[in-house]
Formats: sequence, C-alpha cells, structure tokens
Amino acid sequence: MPRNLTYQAKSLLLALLVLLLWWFTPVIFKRWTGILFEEFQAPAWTALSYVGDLRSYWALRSRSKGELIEAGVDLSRLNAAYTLRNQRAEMLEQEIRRLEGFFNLPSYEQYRYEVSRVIKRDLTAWWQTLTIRKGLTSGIDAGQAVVFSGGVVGRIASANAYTATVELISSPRFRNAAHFEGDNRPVEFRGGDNPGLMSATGNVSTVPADVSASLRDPLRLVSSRLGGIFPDGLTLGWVYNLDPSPDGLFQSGKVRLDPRLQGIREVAVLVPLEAREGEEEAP
Amino acid sequence: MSDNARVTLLFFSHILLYFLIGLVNNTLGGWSLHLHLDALLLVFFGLFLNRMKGLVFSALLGFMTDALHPVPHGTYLIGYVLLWAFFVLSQRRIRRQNPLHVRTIAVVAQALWLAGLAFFLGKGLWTEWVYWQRVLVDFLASALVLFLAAWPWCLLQKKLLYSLGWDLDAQLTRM
Repeated sequence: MPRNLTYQAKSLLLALLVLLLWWFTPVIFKRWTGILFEEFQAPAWTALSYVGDLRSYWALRSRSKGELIEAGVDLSRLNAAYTLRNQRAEMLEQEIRRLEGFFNLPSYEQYRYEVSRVIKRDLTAWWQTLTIRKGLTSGIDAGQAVVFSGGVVGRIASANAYTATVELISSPRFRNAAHFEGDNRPVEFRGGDNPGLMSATGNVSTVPADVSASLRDPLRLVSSRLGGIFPDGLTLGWVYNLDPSPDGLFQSGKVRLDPRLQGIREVAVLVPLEAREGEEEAP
Repeated sequence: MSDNARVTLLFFSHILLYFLIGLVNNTLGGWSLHLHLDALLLVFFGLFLNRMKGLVFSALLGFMTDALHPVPHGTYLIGYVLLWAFFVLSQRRIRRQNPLHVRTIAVVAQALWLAGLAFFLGKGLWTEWVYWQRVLVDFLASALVLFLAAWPWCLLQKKLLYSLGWDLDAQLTRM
C-alpha cells in the first residue's frame, strides 16, 4: 500500500514540476510553441475540409440532368438581375467619385473580396470562432472584416500562413459601433448571448430614447464605419424590442442574428486595397 | 516492436480522436451545441498508461488544444496536466476493470474541468442565465457522450495494445 501511495505522490509531484516549469518558461518560448502547434495542425484541418468538399462534389454529381438544368435557369435569371444591379452600382460609384472630387472629400476605403471556405467551427459559451482556409499568403491579416450574403460574419482574430481565425459577431468579446438603417446616430453592438440549442443573439445599447422597435416594425441594425473595421451598411441583425435604461436617456435590446451564421460554409474577407498613387499625393 | 513504438501508435489514435471530436463539433455548431470531451482524450493516459508517457502525451494534447483556442496561453496545458493527475490519483480509488467506474470518473473529471473553465473564462458573464444555460446544455450533452464512449474507448486502446503485443490487463493485474 505505501508503494501505491508513493506512485501517486510521485505522479502528483511530477505534474506540479511540469506546471512549475511552464510557469517559469519565457513568454517568447510559450508564444513559439503556440504558433508551432497551430501551424502543425493546420494542414490536417485543411485536408479534412478538402475531403468534405470532395464528398459534396460527388453528392452533387449524383443529381439528375433535369435538376441541373433547372438550377442553371435559376442562376441565369439571378445573373441578369445582378448585371442590372452592377450597372446601377457603377453609376452610383461614379457619382460618389464626382461628389468627392467636387467637395474635396477623402475617399471611402476600397476593398477586394477574398472568398474562403470555412474549415472549422468552434462555437462555445466562451468564444465563437471559425477557421478559414486562407491566411497571410492571401493578404489576410488580423482585424480585417469578414462578411457573407447575410451581412457581417465577424473579424479576423489571428492569421497564420494558410489559415485564419474569425471571431464571430456572436462572440462575447465582440464589440463594434453600429447604427440603425436610416438613422446615422451611433449605437453599441455587443455579441455574447449564445443559448444552447437556440440561435445566437447579440445586444445593442446606447440607443437614443426616441427610437422604437416592435415585432411588426423591426429595425435593421447595420455596421458603422466608425469602428474602423467594417464598411457602412452591412447587416448585423434585427432588433424587435427595446427597453429603456434606468436613467431614461438610452435604450437597449436584443439583436437577432442571422441563423445561417452558425452553419456558414463560405465567407468573404474584406482586404483593404492599397491607396492609389493619385490619392496619396492629393492634399 | 518496442514499447515506445506501441505507445506512439496509441498516441496517434488519440490524435485521430482529437480530430474526430473537432469534426463532430464542427457539425454540432449549427445547433448551438459543443461537446467538451477533454476527459475522453485523457482517461486512458491517466488510468492505464505508465506515469511518464501518460504525462508527456497529456501535455502534448494540451498544447494542441491550447493552440487553437483563444485562451490565455497554457490554459489547456495546465488543465490537461491537472486532469491527468486527477485520473492518476483515482487509479487506486476505483476499479479500472469496472466499466461503470471508468465512465463515472471520466464524467466527474469533465465536470470539474468545465466548472473551472466556466468560472475562469466566463468573467463578466456569471450573472447571465443564458451563459449558465449554455454551459449546462453543453455539459449534459458532453456527459452523455462521455458516459457512453469512455469505456469502449479504453477497451479499444487496450485491444490495440494487445494486438501490438502488449497485454495491459495482465500488467495491471500484477500491479
């Protein structure tokens, strides 16, 4: 029996020794091990994601020709609609440039869309992150905005050589300036309510007292340029109810986020374009 | 085949499990559910493997998990080493051949680890019921999976070692 106790005691001492060693390990070494283990795993996660894509490809191959023709017709209709919308967008952009020149205004920041597949979702009570299949080599860097067809996804939390981690807007640590559609007064958006087995929600606060929202007339909360990360007007979520704060000056409420956010497969990272030479020289 | 080679193969089977858990959580993310199965990764190392190898492999798994999570660096390393120590301390308090004991100790270890994470990482969220609802739902789902999977996983590892020429049961009986 004493021998057994000794075995356990020795094990415990060994564990304490490891913890003590870790405590005194230089921070640079700790950081290095973190990067090493992250980069070491990245190819495996990426390979698993490619396997998933291959599976989807073969599943799609099994579709009948009739289904594919139907999908093609739908896509051609969508293409026609988007072509018209593109022409209008180009016209509006030209108008913006003309007005910028006329009033000597600084240009809006320009982005290119870097589309990437999601290889891993990690959605817990403490953090909500996605890992995507592109990283530093594609120009992706920490702090850049990530969007999808439903609006804002989040921002790049960290970037490695070939992968990057996205912090979702539903993450408890996510905060950003926002405003309601048609009302430019800034409000504060915060992620964080992630109940189990239900869709994630966010919170909005510092809403002016004269704003009202109801189930019949919900308000669309959109991103604001004030945060310095997102362009203006991208959907964050919908607000159905606002409650006054104790001082009566502001209101706060829950923001219903897009439920597709939790099952998203592809995102676009907004990579800022370098300023054009002509603009740099402008006073 | 040397003992080291056998145990390295065992470690790779744990790495496979680690990726499998990641894939399952990837799918469950759509339902706002996350399985915390840290105890499943460590139960065999802590209960059946010898001290040095068990500790080294637990620490390596801790490093791997730590690298992917936005936590203060070393959180998972410290947690996994403590979980391993908990399993080692439990060795003489349970019957390792009894499936119910192994399943229960795995669930208890996971509960302790989750409680630690809930208090350590949830600063500022302690007063929100939604936070505790999420932690509870995740724990219940994880506990169910752990209870069902802990013993078959240990059995599989023992059979793997046996097929590689290492009779772990006979060794444990002699101890």
